[in-house]
Formats: sequence, C-alpha cells, structure tokens
Amino acid sequence: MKVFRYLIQSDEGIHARPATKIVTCAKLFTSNITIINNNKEVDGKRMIAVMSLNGKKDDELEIRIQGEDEDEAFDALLKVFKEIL
Amino acid sequence: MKKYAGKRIYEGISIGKIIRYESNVIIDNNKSLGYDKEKSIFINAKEILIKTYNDLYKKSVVENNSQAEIFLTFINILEDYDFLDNIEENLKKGFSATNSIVNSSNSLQKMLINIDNDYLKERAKDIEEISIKLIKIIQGDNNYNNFNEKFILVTSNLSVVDFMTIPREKILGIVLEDISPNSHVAILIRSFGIPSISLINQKVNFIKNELCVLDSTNSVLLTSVNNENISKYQSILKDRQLKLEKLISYKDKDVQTIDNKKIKVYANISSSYEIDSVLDCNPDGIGLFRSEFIYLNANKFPSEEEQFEIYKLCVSKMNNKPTIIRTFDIGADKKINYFNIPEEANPFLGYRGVRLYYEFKDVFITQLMALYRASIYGNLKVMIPMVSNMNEIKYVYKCIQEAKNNLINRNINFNEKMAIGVMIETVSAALICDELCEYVDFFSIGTNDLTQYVLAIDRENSKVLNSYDHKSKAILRLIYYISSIVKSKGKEIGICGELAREKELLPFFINCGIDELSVSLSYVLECKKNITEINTRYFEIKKYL
Repeated sequence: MKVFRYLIQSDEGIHARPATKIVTCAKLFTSNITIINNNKEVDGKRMIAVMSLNGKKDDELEIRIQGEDEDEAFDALLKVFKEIL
Repeated sequence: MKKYAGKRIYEGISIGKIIRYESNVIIDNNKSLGYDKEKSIFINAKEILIKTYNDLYKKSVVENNSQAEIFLTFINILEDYDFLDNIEENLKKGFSATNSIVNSSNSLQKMLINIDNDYLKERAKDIEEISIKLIKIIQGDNNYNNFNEKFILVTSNLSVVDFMTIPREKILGIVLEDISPNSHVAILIRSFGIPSISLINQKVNFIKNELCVLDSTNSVLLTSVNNENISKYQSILKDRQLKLEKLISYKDKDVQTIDNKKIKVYANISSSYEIDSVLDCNPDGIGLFRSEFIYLNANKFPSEEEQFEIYKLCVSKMNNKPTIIRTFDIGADKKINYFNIPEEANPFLGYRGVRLYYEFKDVFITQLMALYRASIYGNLKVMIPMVSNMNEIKYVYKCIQEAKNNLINRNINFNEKMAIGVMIETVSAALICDELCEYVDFFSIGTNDLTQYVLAIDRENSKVLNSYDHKSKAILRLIYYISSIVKSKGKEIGICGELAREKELLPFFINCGIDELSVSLSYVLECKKNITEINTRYFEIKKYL
C-alpha cells in the first residue's frame, strides 16, 4: 500500500472541478483508492462521495492506494493534487 | 387583449405562439416492467443525456463559454458509481426506472445537503436537475424538436442549464415569471440578445396556439391579440428588421460628423457572456463593465482566480481596445445575501458603492488583485463607483497599493500603470472633480444616478416621474462644468448613462469635449449612425445652458 498526505492549498477546496479531475484520474487505475478527511473515508473513484468530504483550505487529506498499479497511481494522483488543490 | 407588464431584460419585439416550460416533472407510482426492461430504459436515457451534455460541452468550449465545465461535472454525476449502484439496487428491488432515479437521487442529495457548505447544497440541486432530465427523457418529453415553429417561452422556473439545452434558434422571446431581471439566467438571456421581460407576481394565461406579442421595448406581453394589432406589430417588426440591416453597415466604419469631428462609441455590459455580442457590433471599447453581476451570480464572495479568468477573457477579446471595469457597486437596488447589509430607510442615499470598501476591504483588494493580474492582457481600466469625497479616493489608492504589494510579493506580473478612474454619479463628485483630477486618470459620468441625485427624483416612482426630465438644463450645466474642468486638466471623460444615446445632444457632447459615449449594446450601431448625420459647426453650446 502507498500513502500520501496532502494539505489543501486552494481557497475553493474540493469543488466539483477538482473532484472531477481526481475521480477521472483515479478511475484510470485498478488499485483501490481511498481518500480520508477528518476521519471520513471515501472511495476515490466516486465523485459525489469525494465532494462530500467537504475538503476545505488547510484540511489535510490522506490518500491510500492499494493494488497492482499502486506506484503509477501514486505518481499520477500526487500530480493531480498538486495541480488543482 | 390582455396585457402583462413587467421589467425589461432585453429589448425587442417578437410575435409567436407561447410554450410554457416547467422544469419539474410529475411522477406516478408506475409499475416496473421487470428488471431487464427497466434497466435498459434507464441505460438508454443515461446514454442520451450523456451525449446531450457532451455536445453541449463541446459547443460551449467552442463558444468560449465559462459555463462549459458544468457539463463535465454533470457527465461525472451520471457516471458516478454511487449513483449507478443505487439505481441498480432499486431496480433489483423491483422499482421502475423512473422511481429508481427518484430514490437514488434523493439518497445522493442527502450525502451533500446535510453538510454545512452552501456550495455542496447547490451541487445537490445539480443531482436533482439531472434526475429530472433523465425522467423527462424516459417520459418522452425530451426536447423541443416536437415544435417545428419558433416560440415565445414562458417559464417560472428556468435554470442556466435548462436555458442552454433549448435550441436558441427556436426562441423568439422569453417571459420569466417571478425570476429577477438580475438573475443569472436573465443575464445570460440578455447576453444572447433575446427579447425578454420579467413579470413579478403574475402568471401568464394563454390559449394554446394563439399568436401573442412580446413587446419588450415597452416591457409588455400581450395575449388574446386581435388580427388588427397583430398586423400592426408585424409591420413594426418588419421596420425594425430593415433598420437593423441598414445599421450593420456601420459596424466597421470609423465614423465622424459631417464637419469631421469624432467621438468614440463604447458599450455597457453586465457579464462576460456578452462579450461575443460586443464583438458583433464592434464598439471602440467597453465603457462600463458592471462587475457586481459577478457577485450577484455567486453564493459567496467570488475568488481572485474566478474573477481573474473573467476579466482576462474580456480584456483579451477586446484586443487592446479600452475596457473599463467598474469595481463592485453593491447596495441601493442591488442586494446580495452574503454581504449581509441591513435594511436601510433610504438605500439610494445609503450604503453603496465605494462606501462599502471600508468594511469589505478584503473583498475589494481581492477584486483589485484580479484586475491588476488581468491588466497585462489588454487595455484594462478600472473605475470606482459612488465616490463623493476626497477621503474615499485616497483610501482607494491605499488599497491599490496593498493589492500591488501583494502581487509583487507573489512575483506576479501586472501593469503598474493601469488607469484608474472615477464614475461621477454624485453631485459632490462633480463639484470636486478638479481635486479628483490630481489623483485619477479618467472620469465617466453615470447620468442615470446623477440625474436622480440632481433632480431629487426617484426614477422608479411613477407619482413623480412626470417631473423627471433626463435632459434637464441642470444636468447639462453640470456636464458642461465637469467636462470643462476635466479637459483643462488633460484627463479623459466619458458618459455612460442613458443620456449618452440622445441624438439631439450629440453636438453638445462633442463641443463639451466628451471623449466617449458608452451605450447599451443594442444602441451602439445606431449611435454610430447618428454621429454621421449631425453637424456641430453652427451649434451653440449656450443654447443648452
């Protein structure tokens, strides 16, 4: 399993646009992807669930990736998070 | 004949049959035709809707419409695993496709609606909207292709997305019931130049297939119109079209008066959606971009990034022509919930324009930073509303310095010398314009508010309207006073109220040395034509004073 933590920098937090980009990226991989915010855990491939995390600026997210392509998924997701959040 | 009077959104005349549009649907507790059948009904509707949104997305990207992203979000909701799993569960339980959609839409909305976040509550409405669309497809009420003719749309419930899914070429006119002329959808309708009005506390009754007249020039909808009146309006419409065709030839003309004098013609706009219509009539610049509509359309203070994108789009599309953006003018008749401004006994003499910038300093500085960032993409100028004393303008410059420092600290490029101007709407600003010249680069006289302050007459009050003379000597004297001082100080001056489009005042404006007239989009070409028809040579300014 690979894990990274990410501190939300953008003022908007996880709006529809970032959620769309995260989910679109997550769906490219077979690994299980879990995103956690304030003890709430959701599947990173489910858009409405990701929005429901209510991630705001200065929240710290934990992203857990487990599966065959976890290395590639890790790199790709980290890049997306850095770009949009 | 029955007459419905409302407020104008965009002026024009249309004659046609009325179609009522409602975005809610009626759902009977319909029986399932069995899992397989219902599942394929759902999948089919889903595919149709995804295709529709995909087409709309592509179209919006081509049109450079800032709404484009919403369609991608909608597609993602339609493909959301929670949504699909939920539907599947319901179908398996023996619910029909329609009922399954309703059930899972409700449970998905619950995921968002209980969170304390207004933005997510809005997204819950998106889910509802999508579900309604799916059900409409299933019920066979999918599109407007059933109507071969063009129509006048009457609706009490029209979202931006609803509006965009209706083929624009079929819409002759729009009547909104209880939807504000300042609403997002009204602004969008205006930007497409569709004749339209907004009715307050009225429901339109009409007979199916009867010809009705929407005369938004006079802000009325007429039903049960007799043949005589129909043909009267048909000939008015024909005349207007002929006139419009003739005006088009002025689009790219560099106009001047018979005695070779020039005055620039700018356009007033309220949103970036209008920018393509601006390019269609090719004015010399934008004289007034009312930025408060960005705030009116939002549920919270718009971010620097959001604003930057809007300003950048406008200023770069204008291709180095002057683009004057007025900083937010909230208050008076423009109220916004999240500003939390208490009720006032006399809002027009109260808390509005620059007077809010002390309390909402962060909001003002955020806007300034967005404007400065956009300044490198063209000829952007910034105008401050409702100034009435020197302290206000000194304060504005203090904020400007803070905004600049912030951008410098962030290593962001901007045009250090972006022009700053004042909108002259108060009598006091007019009388101290010599001192204001020491600070600012340009002025624009906002004649609508200035006139009501000078005459002490409320334009909305029908009891005193008879005394409201917008061409009164008092106003013209004041314009003469302002322009002679401003010109003697070598600064630029424009006029951006309804007075600017008065043909008979053109020689007066030109002889006063007014640099530009900024008029509503629909008057730009007419104003250009008027300029070519006048001669200022034998004109005496004194006659007006």
